[in-house]
Amino acid sequence: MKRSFLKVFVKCGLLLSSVTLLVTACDDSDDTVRSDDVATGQMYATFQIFSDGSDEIYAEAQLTKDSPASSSSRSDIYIALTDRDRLWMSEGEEAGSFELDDDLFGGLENIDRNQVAFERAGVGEYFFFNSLVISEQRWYFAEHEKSETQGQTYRVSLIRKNGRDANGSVVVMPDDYQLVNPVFSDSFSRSEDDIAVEWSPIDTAATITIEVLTSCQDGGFESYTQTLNSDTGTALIPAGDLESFSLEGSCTSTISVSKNRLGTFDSTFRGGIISAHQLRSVSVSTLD
Amino acid sequence: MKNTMLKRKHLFLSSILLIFCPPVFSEGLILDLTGGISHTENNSYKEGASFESAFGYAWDAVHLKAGTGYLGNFELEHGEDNTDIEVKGGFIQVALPFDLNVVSLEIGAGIYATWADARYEGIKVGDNQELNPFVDLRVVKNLNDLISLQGGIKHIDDVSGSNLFITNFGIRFSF
Repeated sequence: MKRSFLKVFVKCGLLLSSVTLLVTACDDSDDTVRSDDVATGQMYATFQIFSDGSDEIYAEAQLTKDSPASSSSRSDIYIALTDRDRLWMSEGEEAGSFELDDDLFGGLENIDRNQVAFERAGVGEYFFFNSLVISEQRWYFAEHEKSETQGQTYRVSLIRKNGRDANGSVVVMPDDYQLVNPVFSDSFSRSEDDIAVEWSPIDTAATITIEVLTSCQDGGFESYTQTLNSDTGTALIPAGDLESFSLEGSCTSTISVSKNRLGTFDSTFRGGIISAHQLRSVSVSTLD
Repeated sequence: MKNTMLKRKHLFLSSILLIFCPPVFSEGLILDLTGGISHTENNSYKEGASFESAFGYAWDAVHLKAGTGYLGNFELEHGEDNTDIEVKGGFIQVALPFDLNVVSLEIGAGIYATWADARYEGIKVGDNQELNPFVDLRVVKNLNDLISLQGGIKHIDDVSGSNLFITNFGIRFSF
């Protein structure tokens, strides 16, 4: 997993993973079922693909039976993939059954270049701030070299030995962009300063999520979230919105911007979502 | 001038005799055991290790052998873990021996029946069985009546989409 980006979310991850380690003592608990026992038409799926501006893209996936995953529900049943079922991410191309023809050497090279299999992710793994997966439950992760093509389409496929494949979930990654303002080491007052966040270029097909994680040396920690339905290239964090009684003195605030696009989901599943996210972040100093 | 012409003529005739006149070898059973490095013409793959064993009969003019071989496990150079192609098989071969006094040279050709399995991240994604022609060039040095050392190169044509080249060394038992 790309550590450079994820360092930003270390504190968040540590807090949540310590809680989830207590909750998830067993590997396969009663709320997990083997995929062999679940028809594709009974599955809800969450597929998210992330780019942080590096040379890699990351994908998260989670499957549940009969109902979508919810952090507030204790009755959700999570699906553990067996060796006969596999999730793949590919660059636009439809992932087939992966039965290569006579040209094994060329075929295997193509598979490796264009697609990657999801692996089981562990409890306590760090995740992206706008991730929808319930990380204390069974979920899957994939990492692949990023295409240099802007507007690249990514596809997530469930390929099954004894069941219906579902390889029609596709999403377009929002275009690359840069955070223009603020810049690293800028300093703001949490109570008195508006913080103008600017990025370029804009993507008219994307929605925007902004999250600010503020952590202080004394252990104080707060998060702030703002959602925009369209991409205008700017957002304003009003003075006072980052202020909290738990934050004192000089703290570090990490401002993260996510451009989000929803994709087309395969109707073979009972339901679900596929989305793509371009993330950028910057750390600034904040004072009372 | 005339001496030079004669020397050239003798050299030419000697060469012809060396190539077309089979030397005298002792007839009998032979057992070859070799190990070496194999690589694919497709340079996206790393080298593999190969091992072969063959049993046959050596006549004065020709050797006939049959054997089995593990031709290598070829991993992608920059691929995911547990992503590779494993190739093994069996072969029959005819070889012509030529005595070069200190060593003997064997030029062989045959057919390899190959079995190849492809795995992507540990999952089998394909297999292939086929017959592949090959050529083999080998140098053999007799140590005594029973044991010889050998080294050679082998080219196997178009194994599951890529030519294979094998360089190996080993031992021969003669009975």
